[in-house]
Amino acid sequence: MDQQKIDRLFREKLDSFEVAPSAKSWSEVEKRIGADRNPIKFYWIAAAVSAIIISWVVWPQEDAEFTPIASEVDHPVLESTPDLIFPILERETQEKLIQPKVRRQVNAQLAAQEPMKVQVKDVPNQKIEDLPLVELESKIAVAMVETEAIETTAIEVENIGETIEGQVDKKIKVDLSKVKITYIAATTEEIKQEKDSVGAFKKFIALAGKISPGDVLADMKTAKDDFINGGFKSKQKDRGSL
Amino acid sequence: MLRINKSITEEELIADCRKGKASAQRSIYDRLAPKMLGVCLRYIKDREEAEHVMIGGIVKVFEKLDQFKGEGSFEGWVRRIVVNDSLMYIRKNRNMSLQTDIDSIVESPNFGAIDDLLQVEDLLKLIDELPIGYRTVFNLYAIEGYNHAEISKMLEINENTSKSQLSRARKWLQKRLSEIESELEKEITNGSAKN
Repeated sequence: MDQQKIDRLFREKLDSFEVAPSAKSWSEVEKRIGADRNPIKFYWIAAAVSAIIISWVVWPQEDAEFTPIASEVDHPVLESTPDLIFPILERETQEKLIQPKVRRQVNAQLAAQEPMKVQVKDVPNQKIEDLPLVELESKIAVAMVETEAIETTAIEVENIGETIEGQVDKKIKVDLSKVKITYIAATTEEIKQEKDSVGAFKKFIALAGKISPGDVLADMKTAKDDFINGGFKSKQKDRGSL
Repeated sequence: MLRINKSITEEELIADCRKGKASAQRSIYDRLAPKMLGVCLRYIKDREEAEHVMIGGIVKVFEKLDQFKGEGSFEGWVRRIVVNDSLMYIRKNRNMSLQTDIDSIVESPNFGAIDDLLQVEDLLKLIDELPIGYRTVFNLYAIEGYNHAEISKMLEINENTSKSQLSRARKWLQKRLSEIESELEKEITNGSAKN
């Protein structure tokens, strides 16, 4: 009997025995159940992102049908530009040569409907809506050149090996496939046009040479600080005040 | 009415916990952590270690919440997990000495008097003083209500060992209670003599 009394004594008193855990106890529990959950979320996000990237890379883009946003499509207009470069050779010296300014025009509606086609402009004043749609060949599309009107007083023609410097009225027979023409600008400000892609590359290299790595790092740091401190908002305010 | 409301709330809390709702997890923790720390302290003397085991048990409860089918009380289910973790802790950290001799029992204490005078803390102190093997078996049998077959499986000991551990634990406690009782009686008589 005593044995059962002992059991009962301890059971009655200790069964409901409670001790308040320390304050850090919950944060420990929270951390541990949180720590177990986060990797699952992380893996899901990682899986989703990699799935998007893989599908983007692997997707056969050439065959893909897509609906472009009209405002974003730069629908190339092919223009015949017969007097852009070569006919200048036959003109008078004193006559100021004005090259026609060629602008690319976009018919947004057509562009959205037929993104892979190009409009061809045969007659100069033809309306954009009337231009016929032609299947775009990649070579033509790449060859589109945008130029600006330049007042020209002299022309230098550089032929294979020798430089022919002369007035514009001189008729020079050159192999047109192997000629480099430099227009000398009429304005005091010299405008040199380099048609050569190598020139553009050199410019880029020169520009890259001017950039100091320290400045780039400083800019990145500033951008980071701005982002963390919500600095973009304050910048927008500055712009508003200006 | 109150009881029904309470049970509904607990079910809702468990459902919210399964969805990972932090506030529900906190409520469950607030309800159970003090009780479970009390359980751990019966098995593990060291307060910090006991709390550590309790935390581990509660974490396990949240992780295995899907396994709780609603059969029996939730608290009972949690308690089983926590008791199991406490046993694992004892097994890992200490050799359970299952042999401790107890001197012959003196006399049986007067439970009526002791029952009123002893505080929960005093009883816990007595349990803490028990050799670990006795304490574990006594806790499992007398307070948790497991039978000897279950205890022998849980502790991986012989069923007879479990029985003998329990009987020795009881004798040991009986002895200590008698000592306390006589001390208390002395105090009372001294006190009344002064008066």
